[in-house]
Amino acid sequence: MTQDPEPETGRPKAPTEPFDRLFMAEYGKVVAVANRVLADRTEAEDVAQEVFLDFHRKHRSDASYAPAWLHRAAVHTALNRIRSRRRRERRELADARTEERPVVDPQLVVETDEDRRQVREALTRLPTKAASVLALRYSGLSYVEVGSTLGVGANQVGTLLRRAEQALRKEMTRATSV
Amino acid sequence: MRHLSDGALRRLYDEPYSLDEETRAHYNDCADCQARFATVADDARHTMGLLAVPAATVDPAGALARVKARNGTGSSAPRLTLVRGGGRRLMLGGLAAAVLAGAMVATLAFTPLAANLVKIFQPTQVTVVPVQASDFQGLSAFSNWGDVKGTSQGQLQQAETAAEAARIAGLPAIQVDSSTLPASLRKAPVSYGAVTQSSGTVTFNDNAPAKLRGSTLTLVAGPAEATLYGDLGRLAQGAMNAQGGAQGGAQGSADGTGSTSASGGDTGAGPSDADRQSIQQALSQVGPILAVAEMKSPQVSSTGASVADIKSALLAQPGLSPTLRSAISSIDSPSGNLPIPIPSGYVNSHNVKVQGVTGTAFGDNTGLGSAVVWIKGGKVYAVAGTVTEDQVLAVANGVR
Repeated sequence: MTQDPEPETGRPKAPTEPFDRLFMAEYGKVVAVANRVLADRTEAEDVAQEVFLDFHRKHRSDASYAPAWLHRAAVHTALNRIRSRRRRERRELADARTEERPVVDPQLVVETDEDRRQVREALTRLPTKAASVLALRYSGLSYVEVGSTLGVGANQVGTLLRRAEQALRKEMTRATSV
Repeated sequence: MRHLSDGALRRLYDEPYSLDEETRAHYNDCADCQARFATVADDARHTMGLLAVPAATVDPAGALARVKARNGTGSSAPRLTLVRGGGRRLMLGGLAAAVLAGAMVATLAFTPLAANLVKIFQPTQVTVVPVQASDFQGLSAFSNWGDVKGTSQGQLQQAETAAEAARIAGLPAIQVDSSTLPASLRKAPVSYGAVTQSSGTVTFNDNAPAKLRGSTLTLVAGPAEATLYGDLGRLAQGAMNAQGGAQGGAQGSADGTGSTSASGGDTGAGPSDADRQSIQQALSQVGPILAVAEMKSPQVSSTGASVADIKSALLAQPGLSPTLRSAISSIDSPSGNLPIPIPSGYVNSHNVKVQGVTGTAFGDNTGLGSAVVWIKGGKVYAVAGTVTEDQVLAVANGVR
């Protein structure tokens, strides 16, 4: 029933350049992964561009491992930004007070950002693999995609995720009880 | 079978359809695994709350165009340098605008808003619940609980081939073993169609019970594709004739010149003899028809409320009929179960084995046609037509 030839459809053409196709297919996911770690869309887009540039310099755009490489690089780059650049925290607070926030209660804004800061700090204290599985899965990647990115089978992702969730919870409990 | 590991339970929470039938069957019968699942699910929801971030709607086409524009390249992969802060300073040049328009759909698809949602339900089996219109009266308050928005509407498109329908739907092409088709349909005209994905949201407002307030449910259905055997032109004409016949029957009743039975389905009393006769006459002119459809299993995601929260809120409503109460209780119980309300008096149904899984066969009480529905591998399949149940089952088991 499926041997019929495919006719011309007249739909808009998809990007033809390998880099364009890769960018269009993966940019949203890469931003989402970085945003999950950083909780800052602008910085997440910076990270996304950085990892695309890095990939472009070093690899062929049509490489089969490109998506996994980009996702992994997005997590690592985002985690490194938190670890090495504390000033981001100050910018988050400044942005929260001045931009695009429908929340009108300043106290709530401060509490929300403080909560996010604590979670991000806790993420950086987790083993990289644990932080990665959390960022990747909670960004919406499937178990197959997460497994591919981390170099493990999809069946192992559930176990890693479960352990990482427990570890994050423990870190948060420790942080708030200090 | 051994109990499910923590990892398997965690995956069950996110991707219930990924587990095999044996594992799912064990889970459905194992109170220990179900209790552990509740803990796993609580932890997952807690982590979701910790890692929640504001939704970031991205514009990949615009980002790509900005990168290229800044670097003075039009098409080839750029000698790229970092462009910072583009998200807040939209600088759409001509190229960006053109690309943006062409890629709007793709942009929406990449929107990571969905990443902030937790999938709470994806059916893996269907069961039929015969209901009457009066059963739904107990749910009248429910309509005031939420604000409904359609976020994308599925578009029906005719295709020339199964392959084109599959491409439109983004699903594997429907493959039917032609030797399983009834002899009367083997040389019938074949039509193909596809429906793109549709989605909508319901945000529970202040009228809703406290546990639900503020939560947004996102319902995603499709995409889907279908192959139809039979003469579509005659089918359309037959449908018009059937409608005209039924209206004529109803008019006759109103004039006191015919029977007094109702012609609609709202009463739940079943079709009248006049309706049945006019439909049978119309379909006899159409000839045999058969449709084979495949749809990505619908799913519901939530920003907070769980299936259990919604069920308990619904069950707390006064005035629910026992039938409706039973139907609500059976949502996701056993795991993945989706009850489908069917007007009682019109349809009979029972479980059947199809493609190695349990499906539901429907037969309308007028003897006009049959259908079978099953869910496998995250997809809902249906075969329906003006043929016997044995014939739809034969076709269903030949679908690949």
